Amino acid sequence: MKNKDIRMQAKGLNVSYGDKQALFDVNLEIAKNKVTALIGPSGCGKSTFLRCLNRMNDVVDSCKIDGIVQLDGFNIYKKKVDVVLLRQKIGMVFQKPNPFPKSIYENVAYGPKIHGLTNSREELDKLVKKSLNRAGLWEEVKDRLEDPGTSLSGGQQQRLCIARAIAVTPEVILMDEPCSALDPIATKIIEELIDDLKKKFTIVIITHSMQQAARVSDYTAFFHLGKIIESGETKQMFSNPRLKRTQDYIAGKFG
Amino acid sequence: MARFDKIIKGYFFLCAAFSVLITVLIVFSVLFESVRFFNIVPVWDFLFGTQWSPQTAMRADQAGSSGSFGAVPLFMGTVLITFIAMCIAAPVGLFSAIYLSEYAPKKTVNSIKPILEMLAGVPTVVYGYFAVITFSPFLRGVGDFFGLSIASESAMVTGIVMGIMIIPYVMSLSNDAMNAVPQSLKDASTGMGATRSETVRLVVIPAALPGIISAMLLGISRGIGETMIVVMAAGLAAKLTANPFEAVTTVTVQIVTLLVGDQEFDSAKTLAAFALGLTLFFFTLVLNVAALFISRKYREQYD
Repeated sequence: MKNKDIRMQAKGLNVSYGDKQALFDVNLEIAKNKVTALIGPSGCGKSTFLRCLNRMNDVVDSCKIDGIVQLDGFNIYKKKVDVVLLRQKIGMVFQKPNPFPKSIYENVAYGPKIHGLTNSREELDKLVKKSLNRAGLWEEVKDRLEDPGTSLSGGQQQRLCIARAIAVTPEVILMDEPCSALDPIATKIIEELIDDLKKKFTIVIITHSMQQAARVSDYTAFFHLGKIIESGETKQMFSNPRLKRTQDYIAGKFG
Repeated sequence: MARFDKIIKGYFFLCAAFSVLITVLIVFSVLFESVRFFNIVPVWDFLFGTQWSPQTAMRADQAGSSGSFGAVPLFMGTVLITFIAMCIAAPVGLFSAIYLSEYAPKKTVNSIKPILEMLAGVPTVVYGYFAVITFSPFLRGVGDFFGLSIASESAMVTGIVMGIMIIPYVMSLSNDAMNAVPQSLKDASTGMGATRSETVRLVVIPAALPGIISAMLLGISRGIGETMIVVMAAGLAAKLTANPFEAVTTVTVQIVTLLVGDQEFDSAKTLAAFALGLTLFFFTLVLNVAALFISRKYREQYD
């Protein structure tokens, strides 16, 4: 990968919770405007890794992080880094749709409001519309923006969360199993959305579905027991993995 | 075995029914005595009269034998003291709940929470002591220093001490409400780049608001019904005033004074205690039901 194509990079990342080490010397490059899938059995450290990318682990008292994570060549774990600004640049979508108990409009307007991104109600209206549009939800909710976000279906809620995340125009979007709580149709819609979003954003996605990883991602990293076993282009990894263990996991022989 | 189960089930039912039955009986006994009282003193005079001097004569020809049963000064005294108490308990209880659920490290929570809960276990008579022996002279001293005259049985002293007593209730209940806000919502807010205080203000408190409101209502209801502290620290004279530095009396204090000692159980003086009790019961019931209603109605909003 050429340097200018790399948006984020982890170098020698070690993470532990109390006495238990969760990540061992993880090195990974995340390509700009591509989808990187993190796969691996439960407890392998992929969630921990994802949460290191926007410093969500900072809130966990016992968590110790050692190593470098760069965004556009800049180490985000430097002391002076403003975590608030960082998380504006690196958005997150969670496993279970988690809209705030507020209206659909207020859900999307949450980020722009706290970061003071707009100067007037019209600008905010526009931004909310644009974000909902980009998340493919506008047509479905344009007449009921004042309804609570929780009144939507599961798939719609997850797209609302995506709209909420992209409303602050991040550079990277982290997705932690965004479809695991959704039915196949809603999953398909989100997958198509991810394909569309990568034109504008860099996406890192955790998934337990090998098919999903194969369908949506350009690059894949296989985690096992806190280490990256193999990483590379998805096509190559799924058709012709270098290691037996990767092949076994992808084929569903363990995990 | 099924037969044994049936017997056990019946026994449990009896236990549950017992407490319900007792409650109903208490309500009725208070109700009947109150009706007798209202046969002597009109309801209107009781609820809206501003004169409270319940002494009745030993002999029929004694002066002032009729007594006067306007309960407004009592209600006002109760309201004033409870208001002062909530001015202390609401912010302190709420903010310490926020600290414990959102800011404090786990270690701190584990050491602070038991202490605060111990505060809830202190007998109210001890609070009364504290008010009379320690706090009242202190406040008088402070008042003297600023040239304020503060009665030794002022509403302020009683209110503040009662507030301290209520803090753990408000704290514990609002803390429960905030802990019930799903972590996923807090994560969502943090993930958007919200600071901790923004998350508390914009996500945690709105989501926990029904629980917080019902915590406040239950705190108020405790304040209204509180007896020991006010008996010891508040005044006896029924004075209609909004000045927190004067002595006021409360509904509960009057009930106690009306019923202490030998009494004839058919005089207006004694029966007045039941009417007061009924009013008290009514208001705390309304508050408790309101608290229950609010927390039930809005509870499932975020699930």
